[in-house]
Amino acid sequence: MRAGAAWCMKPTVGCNTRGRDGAPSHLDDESLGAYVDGELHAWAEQAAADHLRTCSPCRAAAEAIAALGSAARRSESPEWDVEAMVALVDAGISETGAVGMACESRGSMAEGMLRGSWAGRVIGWVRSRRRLALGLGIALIVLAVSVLGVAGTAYRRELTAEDKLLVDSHYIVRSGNVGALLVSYPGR
Amino acid sequence: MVGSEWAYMSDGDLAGRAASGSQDAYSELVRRHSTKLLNLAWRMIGSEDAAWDAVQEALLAGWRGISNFRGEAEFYSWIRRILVNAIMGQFRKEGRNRAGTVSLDMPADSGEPGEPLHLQVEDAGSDPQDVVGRIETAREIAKAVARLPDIYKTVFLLRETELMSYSEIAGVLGIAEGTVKSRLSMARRILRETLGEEVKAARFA
Repeated sequence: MRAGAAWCMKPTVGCNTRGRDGAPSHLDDESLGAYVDGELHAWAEQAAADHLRTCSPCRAAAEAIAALGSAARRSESPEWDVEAMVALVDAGISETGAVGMACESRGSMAEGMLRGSWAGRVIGWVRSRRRLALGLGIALIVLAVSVLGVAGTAYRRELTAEDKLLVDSHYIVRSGNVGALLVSYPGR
Repeated sequence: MVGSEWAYMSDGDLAGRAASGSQDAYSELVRRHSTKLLNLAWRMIGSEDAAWDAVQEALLAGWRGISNFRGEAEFYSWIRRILVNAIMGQFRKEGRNRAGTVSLDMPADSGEPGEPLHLQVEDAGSDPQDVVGRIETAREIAKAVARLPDIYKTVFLLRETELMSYSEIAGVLGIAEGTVKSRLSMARRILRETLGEEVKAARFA
């Protein structure tokens, strides 16, 4: 809630509240509405109430705001066939199966099938925290690539010179750069 | 469980059962809340058919996402949020953000869309309370509200017919509370002007 402490300085008749220049002052529209809605801070509400006690135009405007809302709440509405809605929703659910297995496009079918399992909970968590999940996903991929790189290097160190030649020549031949093979291993 | 037994269960319990796959429990929730949802959708959109479709879609979306319902909020608040967001999304898609786009399915006896309403307030005098009191009941109010631009109408309806706090409205619509306050103020100002010059004139006479 925010306090609306601004005062509208418009001349009026019958208002005892005065602004700095001595002219009668009024609550601005937003503050008046917030007062009627009970959305002012306590101190602002007290100030507004004090003002309304002495300012009949503002009091009338506040009553009009309240009456408008009251009338809106009383406004007529159609007679709805609730049971028809129940039947339609039932039919829609039946078409799509169990909870969560409806036709939503973003993987809801799998989500429905996994509901209640740890995988379902993971999916639910990912969907509720997409940015964090994306960040974690990227971090996991980087970590996996790094681990594989380190493991590959360590593995290569274990190779014999003949194995290294075999591996290197395999990739060089596959890349089509046979000349590189001759340059790399001119004496073999 | 027979149908009558569902009627004695709380919304929270029904939602829990529905999350476990009970379609009957969800049907009871639909039965309880459809009227309120339909009324809200109808006031926002202005068409019974469109309101019907919007609520049906929202309820189906609610079923799909019922496992996300935490039970911290009321079920109605939760499903209403789905409905309001869906309708606002539709408004945005249609580029609908102007006055006079809705009919409220009432006879077109009040002029062309967008034309200010001239209501029966000729003898209202200078008291705004009298003016509102003389308005031909709430039907005229409903028409005037229906003619509000959508962004103002939505805030007005959520406040006045759903009795939501500024904070709740801000949360549902994804806007600042200050924006809620200013839009609500603008909605009331437009309504005041639409419903009769007397209301406006009385204040600063």
